[in-house]
Amino acid sequence: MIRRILTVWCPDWSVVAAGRHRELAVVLSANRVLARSPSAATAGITVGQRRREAQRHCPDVMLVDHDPNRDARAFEPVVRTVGAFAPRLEVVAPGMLCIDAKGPTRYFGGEQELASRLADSITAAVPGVRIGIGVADGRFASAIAAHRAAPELPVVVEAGTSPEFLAQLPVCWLDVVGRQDATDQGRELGELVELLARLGLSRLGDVAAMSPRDLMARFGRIGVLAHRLASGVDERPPDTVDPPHEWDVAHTFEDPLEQIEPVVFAAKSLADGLSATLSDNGQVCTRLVVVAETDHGERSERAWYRVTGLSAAAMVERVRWQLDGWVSQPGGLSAGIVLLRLVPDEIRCDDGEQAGLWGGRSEADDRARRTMTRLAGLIGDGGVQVPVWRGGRLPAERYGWIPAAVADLDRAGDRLPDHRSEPWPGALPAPSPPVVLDDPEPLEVLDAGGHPVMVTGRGTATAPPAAAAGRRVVAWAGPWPVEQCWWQPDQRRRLARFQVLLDDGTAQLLVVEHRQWWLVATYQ
Amino acid sequence: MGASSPVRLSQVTPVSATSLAIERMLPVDDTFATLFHTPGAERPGLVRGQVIHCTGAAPLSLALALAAAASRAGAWLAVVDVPGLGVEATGELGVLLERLVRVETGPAGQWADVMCAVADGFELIVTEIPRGVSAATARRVHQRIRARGGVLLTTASGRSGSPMSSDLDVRTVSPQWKGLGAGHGYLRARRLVVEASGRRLPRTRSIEVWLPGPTGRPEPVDGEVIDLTVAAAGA
Repeated sequence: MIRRILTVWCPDWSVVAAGRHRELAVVLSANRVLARSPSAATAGITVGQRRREAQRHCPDVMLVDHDPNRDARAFEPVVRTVGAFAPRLEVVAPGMLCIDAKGPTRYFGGEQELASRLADSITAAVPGVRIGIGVADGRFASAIAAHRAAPELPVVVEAGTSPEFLAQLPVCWLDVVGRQDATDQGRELGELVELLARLGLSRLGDVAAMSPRDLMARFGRIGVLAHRLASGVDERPPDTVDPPHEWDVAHTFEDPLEQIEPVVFAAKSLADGLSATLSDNGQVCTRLVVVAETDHGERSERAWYRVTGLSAAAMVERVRWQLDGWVSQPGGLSAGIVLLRLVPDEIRCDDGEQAGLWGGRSEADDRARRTMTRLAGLIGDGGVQVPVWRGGRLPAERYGWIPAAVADLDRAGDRLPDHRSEPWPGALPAPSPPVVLDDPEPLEVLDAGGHPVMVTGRGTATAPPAAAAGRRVVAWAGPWPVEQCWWQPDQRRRLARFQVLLDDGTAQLLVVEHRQWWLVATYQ
Repeated sequence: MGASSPVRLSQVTPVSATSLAIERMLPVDDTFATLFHTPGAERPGLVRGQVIHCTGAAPLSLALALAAAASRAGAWLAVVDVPGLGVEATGELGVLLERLVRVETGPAGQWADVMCAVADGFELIVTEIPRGVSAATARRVHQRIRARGGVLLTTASGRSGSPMSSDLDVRTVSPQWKGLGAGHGYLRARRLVVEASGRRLPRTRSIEVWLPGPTGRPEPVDGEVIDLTVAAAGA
C-alpha cells in the first residue's frame, strides 16, 4: 500500500531565507547559483549557472553566500505551521517537507481543501514566500507534483494514477531527488539522467517500461533506484525494515544546557555511535527522528528523511538545524536542554560506498574528512578552510577560503576549476608570493632624496624608489597599474603594483593606491 | 543481510600498520633527494613520524616544497596557524590544492589540542609554533606525530630556539633573486643554498636549488652535493 503524501516545496528557499527575495539577488554555493529571486529569474539567471555567467546576464545582481544553517533556521516557521496540521512530518531539506496526507485529509474534508488551507496558513506565517503543494502516491510523485504546482494551485494526483502522471514527464525530473542531497548517490542520479537521455529514454515512462534487471545490469543500484522512482511505486525499498529499539541513542545532560554548541557536540558522538552500529549491521538510516527536551518539559521532535541515507555528519547537521530553529523561535526556550535522543526510524541495507582503489575516495581522504569534522567541532566551522578559486589580478583576490564544512570535498573541480591555469590578463606571472597578508600594512617608500615616491596619472613613478619601510631598495620594477570596476563608482579601484628587492634579501610586492603605499605580499 | 549477519564488521581485526621500508617514507621532490637520502632506504623521502624544522630566508617556501611530492601522491596537507598563506604560490610549488586545508586555532590557545587532532587525520602538517608553547606541550604534539606517522614541518624565520626537538633541521641561506633590475624585469627565480643537519646525519648536507624556479616549482641548480667543510677549506 503506497501512502498518500503531501509535499510542500518552497522554490528558491535560500533566497527567501536570506531575506532577499524581493530584490535582484542570487545565492551562490561553490561559485554556482543555488537559488535566485523572481526578478533575477526574469533577468535570465538560472540555477546551476556560474557566478560570472549570472553577472553577465545582470551585472548589478546582489550575490549572497549560501548558509545551510540560515536556511534551516528560517524554515522553522513553515515547519511549525505545517506541524499544526499534521504532527508527523518529515523535513526533507530546508525548503521542502512532506506529511502523510491520509489523516488530515479526512479531517479537513478533501485533499484540495487541505492543500489550500495549508497554503493560506503558510503565506500568513511567512509573508512573501512562494510555495508549491503537491499530493500524490509516494514521496517522489508528490515532490514532483509540488514542483509543478503554481502558488495558488496545488497539484493533486488522484490515488492510483501516479504511474501515468510520471510516465509523460522527461527523465530530468529524476534529478529533483539528486539535487536535494549532495551525496554520491544524488550526484550519480544526475549523471544517469544525462546518460538516459542520450540513450533515447527521454521520458520517465520509458525508464519504467524497462526491466529492472536490465537496469541493474547496466547501471547497478542507481539504475534500480531510478526504475523504482520512475514507475511511481513506493521509493521505500522492499528491504526497508523498522529497526530494533535498542538502536536508539540518547544523551542526558546533568546540567541543563543553554547553548547549542555543546548539544551538537554530544549529537556528534551519538551520531557516530549510531552509524557505527548501523554499518556493523550493514544498514543505513533513511529516516531519523531527533528529539530534544528542556528542563521545563518543552519538547521538539522532528523526522528527517533522505532517500540516499543519512551519514553521521548529515545526522549532526540535521540536529543543528532543528535546534537552531527551535531556539530561535519567538520567545525562545524557557529552560536549558536536558535530553537529546536520536531514533533511527527507517533503515535499509547499505548499498555500500567502497573506498576507491583507483581514483575515487581513498582511505587517506576519509581520514582527513573525519578529522576536518572533528576539528570543526573543536574550533568552529570557520577555523577549518579549503581554498577556492576566484580569479583576479591581485594575489589576495585570486584565491579565497571557504569553510570545509560547506565545501564539496569529493568534487574539488567546482572550487578549483582547471581553467585557472589559463592566463588572466594583467596578473603578475609566476612565481607568486607565498605570504599574502590578510591585512595589508601601510608603509613609506622614499626616493634617493628622501621624498615620497608617487605614481603619475600616466602610470609612471615620479622617482626610482630608494628606500621602503626603512630598508634600502636594491632592485625594483613597476608600476604595473590596475584599474578595476571603473564602471561602478562604489567599487572602482585604481592602483599600481611594484616589486622591490630589499638589502636584506627579501622581496616584496607593494601596492600604491590613493597616494598610500601598502605591503600586500612577501616572497618568503 | 540484516541484524543477524554472522560476522560483524567491528569484530574483524584491522590489519596492523605495516612497516615496509617504502611505507615508512613519504615521497619528496627529486630536487631535494640528496638531502633526504636515508641509509638502507631504496628511495629518498620524508621519514614518517619526524619533525623537520625549516628556518632561514625562505622557511615557508621550503616547507611547502618539501610537502609537495607527497601531497601529489595522495597525502593531505594541513597548514595550521600560518597567517596569509598564499594559495597560488602553494600550488606553484607543487602542492595539490585539492588536498590542502587551512586550520586556524583562534586566540584561545588551543594550538596543542588542535595539532593532536590534526595529526590523526593528516599525513603532512605545516605549522608555525606559536610563542609561549612549553617544552612539555611540544613533546606531547611530537609524540602524537610519531605515533600517527605523519610528518610535521615547522617554519620559523628567526634563529631563536624552538620548544620542539627536531629530527632534521633544514636551513635556507644566501638567497639571490634573479630577474629584477633597476626599474625593469620582474622576480623570476631565487637561487639559494639548503643545508640539512640533524641527529641522524653524520655531517651537514647542502645543495643549491632554485626555490622557486621560473615556473614557481623548485628546480636543482646542478644537483651535486657541496660538502660544507670542503667549501670552507677552499674559500
